[in-house]
Amino acid sequence: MTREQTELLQGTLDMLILKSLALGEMHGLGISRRIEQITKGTFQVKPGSLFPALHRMEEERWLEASWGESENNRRAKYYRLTKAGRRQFETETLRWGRISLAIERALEA
Amino acid sequence: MWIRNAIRNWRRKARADAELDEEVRGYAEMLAEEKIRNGSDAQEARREAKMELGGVEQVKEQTREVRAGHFFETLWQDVRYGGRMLRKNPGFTIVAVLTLALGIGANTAIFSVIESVLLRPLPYDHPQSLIEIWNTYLPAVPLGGLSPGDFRDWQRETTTVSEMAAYAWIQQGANFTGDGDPQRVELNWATSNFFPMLGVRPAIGRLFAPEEDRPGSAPVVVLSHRFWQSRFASASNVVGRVLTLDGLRYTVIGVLHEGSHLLDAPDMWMPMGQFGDDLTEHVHHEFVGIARLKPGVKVAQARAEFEALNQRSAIAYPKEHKNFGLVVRPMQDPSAAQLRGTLLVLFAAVGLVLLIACANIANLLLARNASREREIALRTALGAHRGRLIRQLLTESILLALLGGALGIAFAAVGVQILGALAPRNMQAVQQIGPDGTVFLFTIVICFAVGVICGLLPALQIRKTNVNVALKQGTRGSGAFASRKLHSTLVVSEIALALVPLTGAGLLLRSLRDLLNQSPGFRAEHLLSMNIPQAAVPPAELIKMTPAQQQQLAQKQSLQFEQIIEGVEALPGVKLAAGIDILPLGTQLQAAARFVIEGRPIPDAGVRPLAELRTITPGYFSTAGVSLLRGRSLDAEDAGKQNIDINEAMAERFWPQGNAIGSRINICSLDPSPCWFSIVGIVGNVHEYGLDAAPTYDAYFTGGWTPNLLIRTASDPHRTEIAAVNVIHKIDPALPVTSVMTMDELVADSVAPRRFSAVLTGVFAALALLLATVGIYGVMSYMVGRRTNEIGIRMALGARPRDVLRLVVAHGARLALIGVAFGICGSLALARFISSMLFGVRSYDPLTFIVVASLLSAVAIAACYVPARRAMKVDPMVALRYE
Repeated sequence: MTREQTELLQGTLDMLILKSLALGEMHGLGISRRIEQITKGTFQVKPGSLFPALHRMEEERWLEASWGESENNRRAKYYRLTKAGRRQFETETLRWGRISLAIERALEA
Repeated sequence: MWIRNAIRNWRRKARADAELDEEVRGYAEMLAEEKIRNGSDAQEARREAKMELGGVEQVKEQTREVRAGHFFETLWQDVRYGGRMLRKNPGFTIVAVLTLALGIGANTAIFSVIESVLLRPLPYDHPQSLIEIWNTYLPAVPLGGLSPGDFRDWQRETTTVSEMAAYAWIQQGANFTGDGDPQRVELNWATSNFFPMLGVRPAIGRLFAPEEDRPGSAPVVVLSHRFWQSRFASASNVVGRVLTLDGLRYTVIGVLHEGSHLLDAPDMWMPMGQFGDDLTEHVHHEFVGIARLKPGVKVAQARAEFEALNQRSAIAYPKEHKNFGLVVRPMQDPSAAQLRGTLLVLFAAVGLVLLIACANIANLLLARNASREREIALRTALGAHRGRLIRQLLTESILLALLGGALGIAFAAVGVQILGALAPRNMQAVQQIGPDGTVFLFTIVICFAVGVICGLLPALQIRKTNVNVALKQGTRGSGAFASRKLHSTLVVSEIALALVPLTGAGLLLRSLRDLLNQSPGFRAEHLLSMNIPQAAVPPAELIKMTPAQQQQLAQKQSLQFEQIIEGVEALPGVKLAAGIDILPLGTQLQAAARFVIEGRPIPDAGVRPLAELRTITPGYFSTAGVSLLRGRSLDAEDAGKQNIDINEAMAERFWPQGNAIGSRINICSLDPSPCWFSIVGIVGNVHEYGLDAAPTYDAYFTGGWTPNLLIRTASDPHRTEIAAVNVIHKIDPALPVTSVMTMDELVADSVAPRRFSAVLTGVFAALALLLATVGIYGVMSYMVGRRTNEIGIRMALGARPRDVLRLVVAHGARLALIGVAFGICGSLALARFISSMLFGVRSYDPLTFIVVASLLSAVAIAACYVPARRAMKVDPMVALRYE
């Protein structure tokens, strides 16, 4: 995997994580499944990318985490958006909108 | 935020790791449960979950890597691990740290001298905008003063500098009497704006006022800080005291702040107004101009302007100004120029010592890494990145270098003390060195550089490790790590690196020996000299005297000195005594004048030949042991007559037919007396400007006061000292007696700077040789050790010990030859650089090169001979089982 691809994916991954957490708190596997679901299986997030992203975003103060009970009474770490996270989500959505519009125009031209 | 996160991660590292572990494990278990729900059986589900996860440890490591401060966390791990490794091999660690401490310490010591003498900005306000302006007098005087008149004119007319001040280039002496023992003091003049321009403030009292720049102002002096401390014990009530200097009274108005070499060089400073009656004259070139560039003006612009001003002066005052050139340069410490060459040579030598030390450490690390090959292969197999391993090894070598550096700083502190003690008197700058932040920073940078230099080669060898081979091979190294080529390269570089300082030291030491074999032109043993300066007659009064009165004064002075000589000669143990105004070997100001030969075409004033003028008492030549070659030496009969002796160099140059005696020359600087002088004798050449200087043309006169008294004694000359001083003070208690030393000491002093650099270079070269020998021996015995198996096979197959020995030694000899070839190239480059410091030998002196090259080759061959002998004695069967 080249560096450019990684960076593109990372930016996208952040946005997808923020989107899946916009509705409420969720644990790692939940986020992974939600992303699979909302992208209709296009993106399957491996734990090797998911956890680094989650921890990085937690350090950026976009997410906060707390330990809670899972559906099967298992201790799991739940992530939710902070105010900064919501703002970041808005910024990223706007940016993504601009980029996709621009690329669409370029392809139509 | 990054720093806060890093600190938080650091503090709750253990908990964060536990939580991460639980989180990832929980994920895996939930994944498995999900798969069970979807119909897989438990075991299959767990296996699939593990596959999808891609390894719990990897995920955790990847997650940790994004944490803030992760780099430092692992660095800390590396440092601790490195520390453990060093503790585990104390022998290796001690040898390596000591080697590096020697190398780094020597570099730090020399650098701290360089830093404080050459690099530290001058201790003045905004030193970078200060320039100095000198006249040159071509071709003889490369740096000379400006006349007061030129200074005044240029100060008024310049537009490139915001301010211009001046101080006297030559320090004048004066007899300080009436306050305890008479003492000779040195004094200097400065304009009133000189100190404020440099930002120098008084420690007590005040400095010069502008009106004190004018002739006829009140006689005042300012004391240098050093003189205030040494003579007045820093007494604060010194301001207002009246001092008698050459019979005139001066009021102390202030004391300078502790300052630079320039400010502390004289004992006291006088305002320019005390310099003379006429400060518009263009005759006496005695002032150095100091100026501050206007903002944005470059030195070159100021130089162009002052060149033009100098041209204008030359047109306006053609008689006084002929042949005066100009030097404009950034202001510098007077001692910097003198020490630059020596310091750079020493720096090069210690730099090479450090490189050799690095090569030794690199070799030790290579050997050690080879024995750690299995550990490293194991860590690679367990998933450590190669980059991480390389960083680990570099961390270890940098750690070693830092330990070496810490000890090196202690070595350097001692080294600087030793340097200061060894430094000759005329290199005072070396004696006042204190370490500072820059030196500390230098040492840190050196440590990191050294750590990388020694560690990089061994660390990079890791890339070549074949994990499978290394793991299969048991504890012994596979040899893939440290190739023979790499070891050979190390040997070659050590030889080349050691050759350069050895050649340099060889050349400098040969120069010193040749110099000391040089006869000074007088017999130095059992000869005591002392300086008895007489109170100067103020120039203003001298001008008022008629020639007859001046003659009378000179006669009176001669008579008094004759009394001294008679009194001293009557002392027991004294054979002869005599006087001369300026001692040979350039420790004092020199006096030279242009002359014309009778009956020959008169050349232009500027190109007339230059003769050194010396005033002596009649017995001088026999007392000093200067040989009389032809004619007769001046005697009492010559008093009041215009007779002179000249030296051999002058006679041979100007009277090659040998008809010098009886000829007459005109030395016009001796105006207003009629200045034709008859040559009555020719004496041997005396080295006036140092043992290494070509002989000058010397002319000897009699008459007047000759401040240097020479006493030839039967035994130890110093035993006569006190009796002689008593004789002098019985004749005139106001006469200060200074600079008492034997002529042997004078000769030694004159070569002291050369001895200093030669001896130090020699010490560093010896250190280089020692380190290189240890290093070469280490590499060679390691290489032979690794060939024990091969040697065993050869011997089992019937090779005689002699053949094996030849094989090993030939290899060493080949490496020595290559090293010597590289080293000679480097030495030739260095030798060109030091050629100006050489005497009697050429920079490519074949003897030095042959001796040094043979020495190093012998060292290299011996370094393989010893381990080769050992290998030969091994039983072939044992050798074969060795691997």
